[in-house]
Amino acid sequence: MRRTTVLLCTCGSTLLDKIDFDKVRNELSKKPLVSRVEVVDGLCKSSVVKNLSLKPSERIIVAACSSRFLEAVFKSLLSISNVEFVNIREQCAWACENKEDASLKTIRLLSGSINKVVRIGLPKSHEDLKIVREALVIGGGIAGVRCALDIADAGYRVYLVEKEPSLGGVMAQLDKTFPTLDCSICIEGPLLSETGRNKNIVIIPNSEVVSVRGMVGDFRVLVRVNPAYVDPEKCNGCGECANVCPVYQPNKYDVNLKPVKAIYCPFAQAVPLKYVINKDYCIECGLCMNACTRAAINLEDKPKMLELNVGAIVVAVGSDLFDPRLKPEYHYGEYDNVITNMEFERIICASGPTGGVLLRRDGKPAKRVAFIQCVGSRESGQGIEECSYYCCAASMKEARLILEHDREAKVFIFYNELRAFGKGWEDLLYRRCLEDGIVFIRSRPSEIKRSLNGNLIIVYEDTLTGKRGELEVDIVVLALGFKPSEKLAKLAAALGISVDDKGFIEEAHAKVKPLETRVRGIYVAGTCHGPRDIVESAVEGSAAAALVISLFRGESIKLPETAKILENKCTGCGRCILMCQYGAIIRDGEKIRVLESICNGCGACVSSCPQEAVVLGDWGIEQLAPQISGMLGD
Amino acid sequence: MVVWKPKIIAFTCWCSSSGVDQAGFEGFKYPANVLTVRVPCSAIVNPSLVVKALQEGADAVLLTACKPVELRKIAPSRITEARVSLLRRLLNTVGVEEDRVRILWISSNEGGIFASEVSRIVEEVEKLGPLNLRGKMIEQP
Repeated sequence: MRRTTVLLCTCGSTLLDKIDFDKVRNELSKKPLVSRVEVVDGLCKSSVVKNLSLKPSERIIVAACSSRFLEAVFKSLLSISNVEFVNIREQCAWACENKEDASLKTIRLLSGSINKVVRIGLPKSHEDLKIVREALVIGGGIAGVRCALDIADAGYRVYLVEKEPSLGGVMAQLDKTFPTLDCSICIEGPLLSETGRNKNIVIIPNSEVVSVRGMVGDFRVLVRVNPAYVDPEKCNGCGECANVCPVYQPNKYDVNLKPVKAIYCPFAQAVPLKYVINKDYCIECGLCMNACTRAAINLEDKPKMLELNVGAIVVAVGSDLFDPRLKPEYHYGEYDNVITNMEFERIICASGPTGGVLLRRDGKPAKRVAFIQCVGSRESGQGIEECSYYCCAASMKEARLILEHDREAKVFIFYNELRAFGKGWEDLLYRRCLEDGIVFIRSRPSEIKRSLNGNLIIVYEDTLTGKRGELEVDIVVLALGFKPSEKLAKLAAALGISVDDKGFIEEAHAKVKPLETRVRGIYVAGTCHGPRDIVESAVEGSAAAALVISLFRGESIKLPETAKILENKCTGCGRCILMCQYGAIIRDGEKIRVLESICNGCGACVSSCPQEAVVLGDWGIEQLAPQISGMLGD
Repeated sequence: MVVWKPKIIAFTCWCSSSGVDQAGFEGFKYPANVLTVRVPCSAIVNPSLVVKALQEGADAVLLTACKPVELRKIAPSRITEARVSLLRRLLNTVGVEEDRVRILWISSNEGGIFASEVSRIVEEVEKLGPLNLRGKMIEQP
């Protein structure tokens, strides 16, 4: 019979006057299951533990302080898994009125554990998982690029999947960034080209993640690479093809405000700097094929499927903006001069459709501009209910850009609450806006009307004075809130991660695991899990990279205790699937399977199984029932 | 004279065990006849174990768990809450006072609440008297 040893810790002799250790030792020694009882002084000291010369095959009961302190010593350092912890310090010595009570409680608790420990299985060899030390980053915006660069710089290979032909995301489309009014592409461009040059980063443009199998350390990811019709290996970005292309299409990069050829490169700083063909517009005339000296163009190009084997995944796909057509009172799409803030960014940008001059659609210069805040955010209804984080600062920045271009212009900002909370937002943005004479009106305008001369009239009630008013302007800019992109739910389903009630990706824990998802090894960064600005997206990119790197630095992955299904007992009734709130149990053909990367080890499945076919660590009826009898026995 | 004292089994989840430890740490005293069984989460406790404890001589059984509002969508202790309320009704029908099985919401920093609640419950169980479920079962014809 295997030995059971009880270790009683006196906590540096401080428990001697609280618990009668001799009595406890005598009582326990009487039990046939116990082969050794040791009273020791300080189990938290590794020297004390070493002197006990414990063997991994021994069954051990540790009666000491809170197991939170000692579990690590016994389970990791000594790799003893047949160990039970009883807290005789906090729960007996310190909680009982007198020595007699404390000793009695100690004996009872230990009697339970003695009964339990014999029913704990043999020491399990840890099933450590291997790690594929390569990462996948989905999305090439600022969060994804920052993340990929950080992982690559630590020496690991990164696959960077981007749905568009170029990296850059929303930040590449912006004119300036707040609060410093730095040129956006001037600060993102170097990062993009660094990403392009980095030998550890494999950029996969025009592609989407289709499905994911496997678990942390060993994911198999299927990626669909959409045809670019131009061989990226051969294309050197000379642009001869676009010179001869006879067809124009609206450029998505310029929010469809500026035409490009059907064979195009989205913008000058694009990474990779390769041309692609938009087949929706291409007439297949073949002129580009004749013009290309490197025979890079293949109009018969087909989608390709790519399987990647990675150890960790970072989701940084970003979000969409609210569709302003859902607010008919602002007549977006109907009145020419009602524009979105993204359109404004392109118009005010020197590389934009008007070369940076703020013009009305009829070509007249815009002298009076109004911003309407919180379009699609902070309201119930079509938008999302929370604050969209970036728009107060963005509109103040845009207002200052207007004045930089034209000192005579008049700018009005219709706000609800002005939230200037970030670093430099108050002094560099808000104060200077006030000094520059930008007019802030606290109101959510009820309607935009159009006068006969094409000017727009904003109908509003100033909620500070209670007065109603009408304001005539040339251009109205709608500050749109974030909304989860349409494809996000599909991607989340493919990855097995969850989305919250607004449709953004849900974190494993909003406070303490803000970048982890419910699937171990899948992390999230940037606006795909809620509204954020550039700074925070970049911070999260780096932070997610740090999580990936620390995963890769480990020798193997130790999963926490997860539920296991005993196949010989399981009848496939599926009750455990209904009980699991994490969605970690699935039906796989005829079998029921636990997804170890999702299971959190709560055991709701264990107690719901009528066949006792689900087990989790040492907490089955088989172990707990004898423990209870032991405690209650005389 | 031997004074009868009730025996109470308390299934404590990971988080609330830490609350129970905190009670001792902060010097709160509570009756010694509350014996804890540590489990990873209250949802792992099969109702049959609660009945087993009563059969084996416990006069009451407590389950300490995390308040569901503290968690978000995911709250396995809601399962426990549903099971306990069902079990209480069931026990009532066979003549066991429902207050002998209870759920206590204890977070890991609520040691004080644990100590005071447990002391109150012990007093109430003392008023109910011994359960002696096994004896009752044998008496049945």
